[in-house]
Amino acid sequence: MLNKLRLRLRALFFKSKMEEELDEEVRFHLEREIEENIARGMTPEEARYAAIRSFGGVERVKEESRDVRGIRLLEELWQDLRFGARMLRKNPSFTAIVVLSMALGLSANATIFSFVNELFLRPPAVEQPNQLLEVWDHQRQGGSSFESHHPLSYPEYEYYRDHNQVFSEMLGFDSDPAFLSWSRRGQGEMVQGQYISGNFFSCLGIKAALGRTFASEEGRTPGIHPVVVLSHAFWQQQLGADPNVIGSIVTLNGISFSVIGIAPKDFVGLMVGVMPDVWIPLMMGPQTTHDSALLTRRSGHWILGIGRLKPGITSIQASADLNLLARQLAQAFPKENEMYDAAVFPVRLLPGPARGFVGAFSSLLMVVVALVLMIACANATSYLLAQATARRREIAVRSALGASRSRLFRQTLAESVLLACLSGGVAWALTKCTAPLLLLLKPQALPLRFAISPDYRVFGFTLLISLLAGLLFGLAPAWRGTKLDLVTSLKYEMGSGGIRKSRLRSLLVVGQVAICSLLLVGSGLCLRSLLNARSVDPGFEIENRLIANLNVSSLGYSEAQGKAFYDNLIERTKVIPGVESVSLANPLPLGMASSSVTVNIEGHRPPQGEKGFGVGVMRVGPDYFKTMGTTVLRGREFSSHDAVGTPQVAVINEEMARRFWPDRDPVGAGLTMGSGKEEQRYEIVGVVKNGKYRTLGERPSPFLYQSMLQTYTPKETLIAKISSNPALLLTAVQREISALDPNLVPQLGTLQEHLAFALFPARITSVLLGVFGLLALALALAGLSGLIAYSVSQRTREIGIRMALGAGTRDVLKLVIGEGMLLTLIGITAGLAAAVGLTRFLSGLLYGVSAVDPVTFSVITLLLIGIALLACWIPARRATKVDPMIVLRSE
Amino acid sequence: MKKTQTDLLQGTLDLLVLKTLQSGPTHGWDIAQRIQQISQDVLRVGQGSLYPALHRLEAQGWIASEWGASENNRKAKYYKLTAAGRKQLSAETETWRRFTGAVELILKTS
Repeated sequence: MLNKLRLRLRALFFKSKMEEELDEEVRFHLEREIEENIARGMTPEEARYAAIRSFGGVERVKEESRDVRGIRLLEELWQDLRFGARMLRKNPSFTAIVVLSMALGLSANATIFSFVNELFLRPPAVEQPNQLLEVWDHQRQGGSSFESHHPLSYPEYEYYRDHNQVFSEMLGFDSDPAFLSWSRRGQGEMVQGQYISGNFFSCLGIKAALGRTFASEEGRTPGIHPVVVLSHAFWQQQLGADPNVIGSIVTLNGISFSVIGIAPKDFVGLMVGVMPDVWIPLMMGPQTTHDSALLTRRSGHWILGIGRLKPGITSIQASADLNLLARQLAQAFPKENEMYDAAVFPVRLLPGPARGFVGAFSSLLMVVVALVLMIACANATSYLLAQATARRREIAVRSALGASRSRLFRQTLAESVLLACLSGGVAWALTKCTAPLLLLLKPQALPLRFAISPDYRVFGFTLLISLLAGLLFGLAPAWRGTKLDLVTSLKYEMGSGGIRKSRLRSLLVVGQVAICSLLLVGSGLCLRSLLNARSVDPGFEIENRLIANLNVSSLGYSEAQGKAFYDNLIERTKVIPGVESVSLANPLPLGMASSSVTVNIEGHRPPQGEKGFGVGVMRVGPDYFKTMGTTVLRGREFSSHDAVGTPQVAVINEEMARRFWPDRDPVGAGLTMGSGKEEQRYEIVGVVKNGKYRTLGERPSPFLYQSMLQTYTPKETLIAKISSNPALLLTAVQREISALDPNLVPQLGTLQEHLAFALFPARITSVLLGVFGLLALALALAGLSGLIAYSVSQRTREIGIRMALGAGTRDVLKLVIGEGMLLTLIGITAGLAAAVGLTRFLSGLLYGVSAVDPVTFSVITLLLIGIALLACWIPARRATKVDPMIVLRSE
Repeated sequence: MKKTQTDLLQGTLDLLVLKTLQSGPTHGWDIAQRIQQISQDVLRVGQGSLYPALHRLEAQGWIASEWGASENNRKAKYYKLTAAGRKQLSAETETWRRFTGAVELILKTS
């Protein structure tokens, strides 16, 4: 086997040497033969002649010997490719159409793949990423993978780190981006930070580009090592790549940190969506967050643990060992840990528990773009088939001259592979531009940082699908084109019979229209769902509302300072001209965060095994419902009197009133929250209209509002109802905040922008499906129109005769368009039938529209018929221009 | 019909070449001469098929080649049997014996 390979390679790369050797071998033989012949008594002339005659054709023998070496195939391949390139150059418009349509299809695939690559395939830029495992808490009864996995608490991380037997080292870091206020020349600016364990960089094997990374003692003792490592991008963009940055001071949340190093350029963090500007030791967390219990609290889950496996340990062994520790933790701290197992995942940029959901979504997209590619392939096949028919005579001549069918087959196939590679090249260039466009779909309000850069994996994928596509669209034409009856082909033959003669092409068009209508129905459903979601009543008004997310904890405010700050802010904002009403809320509905609480109500027994009823909850300030435009149905909303020291009050929504007080007015009734010593009684003072709290698609669910003035949190969202120009008012609000504290960095925006998050799934699906659906439509129409045009050109003579016999323009139009529309209708029928079966996979993403929505189905059908008519009409018009005299004379 | 005949001849030539090389390395011309001499001029090897056969056997790894000096001191390509070739030779010999034996049996009966 090896020997064979060596010979072949030698044959390929040392071709001239091999040729010389063959020459020499043959020459030696002839000379010996001549000597022998002379010895037998021939004259030298006779001897030479006899020798050559007995050898039987020197060149033929050489040729056969070459064949044996297996080099012939490669030589021929080269010839075929050169010939293919010549043919493609000779036919530039044909080449351009196929390359363009294939490139669009291929690029759609490569773009989606680059997204998949970024999330699932690319390991982080660290040393031996395959040895790394993510460690998560897994809640045994916790619903979906996304909901049942939680990051570790800091004490859990420490326990796992110090007691496991399977990791050579285990690091931990903050799983959410931490927003810190960087005081730059007296003004606050928001930076993204990440709290990390001291061994973070050493465990990942990352060396600083400048300076050093953390030393191990900087990760052990809380509060005494104010040092940071900066990201390369932050150093370049914000600090002007200052070479003397090491040792300088940056002030974060009011604490001075000295810069000890710059991370390497290619390291942007371990998680997708989080690209920290600064890395801070976890040990400094209690200082910067002003939360002294940050590192000792067992109920806060925020640390993502990552371990490096010892040599020879498998992830199954690691999981077993960690679960042993999880059980020890559960025994020691039943309240916090009883419900948790440990779960491990290999490290990718997308956190393990999210992979299932995002994976399903990505597969849907991959299927869609694969369908688009199939339409493009069908176009290419169709064009090549038309070509093959046009080239029958050429093929027949070559075949008559002795070219074998397999040789002709290979040659035709080489041409399509060349075409595919050309398209792949264009697609790659296109993908470089389209892949970053995916990021535009991310709502601005989502605090994720993301980069999509097609790398060598995407390149390999593009190359692979290009080659596969080339084989796919080239096989049928190559098969068809080389299968011919020599005699009939060589005789002068004029095509007739039109579409019936190109049954395969007709089939392709039917397939294209079918796939296209399937995709269009899909995108139509998503679009309708998006429109529905936009028009759904969230229980408050969306227009003309400004919001500012604030967190004073980062600046070390005490409770009294914080309360004073918010009071002042409300007073100052109220008097800005154009502001009608102001309030506070936490957390805002339909955002990323949501909270719930367990309540007990007299006369209602909680479900089996539960301590009470779980209801959604938020804290709101006075005038919240007025500011948000939510109707108060009964009672009143909170006022400034509902503060600490007065009886605890609550407002509930319609649904909660209906469920627990079905036949009486709940205003004045009571409920309790918490249990045992912490039990607190609340009096219901009002009932408000139902709203949407977590997602726009949810059913009405019981919800409860608490008065903000009766509990304090440092984190609030300021909401202002305004009458005019949001942009101008945004700066005014910003000015008031800065006036109160220049270091406080708010996230300002409109309520509409905030809602982008809730609309995100519907929006991204309808945008992507819409784009791909339109692409599919354009490609399918090109196919249909091309086929009709071809059929017309083949039937010129027939049409001429018909017209000579008295057929009018209408008859010709009917004839040609009828053909095209028949195919279209068959295609649409097949496509809709497939859609009925397949769209239910979309139903999870659809809001307020059935997966077999008759409106969408009929609109798409009419749309397709209309556009297909147009696509047929253009070539049909040309058919009517046929002059019978010219056509009949030319034969 | 024609195809089986060529196969048969080709197979026979391979066997003869391998057998000739069993007695030691030699070059193409010598192989042709020896087959002719030993078969007492009954079998004549067409050079037209000898060289392709040699290259094919080499490609299959049954023989190996190297350049050496011929008996009259000229540069010639010498072929020798490889271990795989030796195995192939005994296998083909066995097949040939069975084949001719069978043909012989049939010829005797009629």
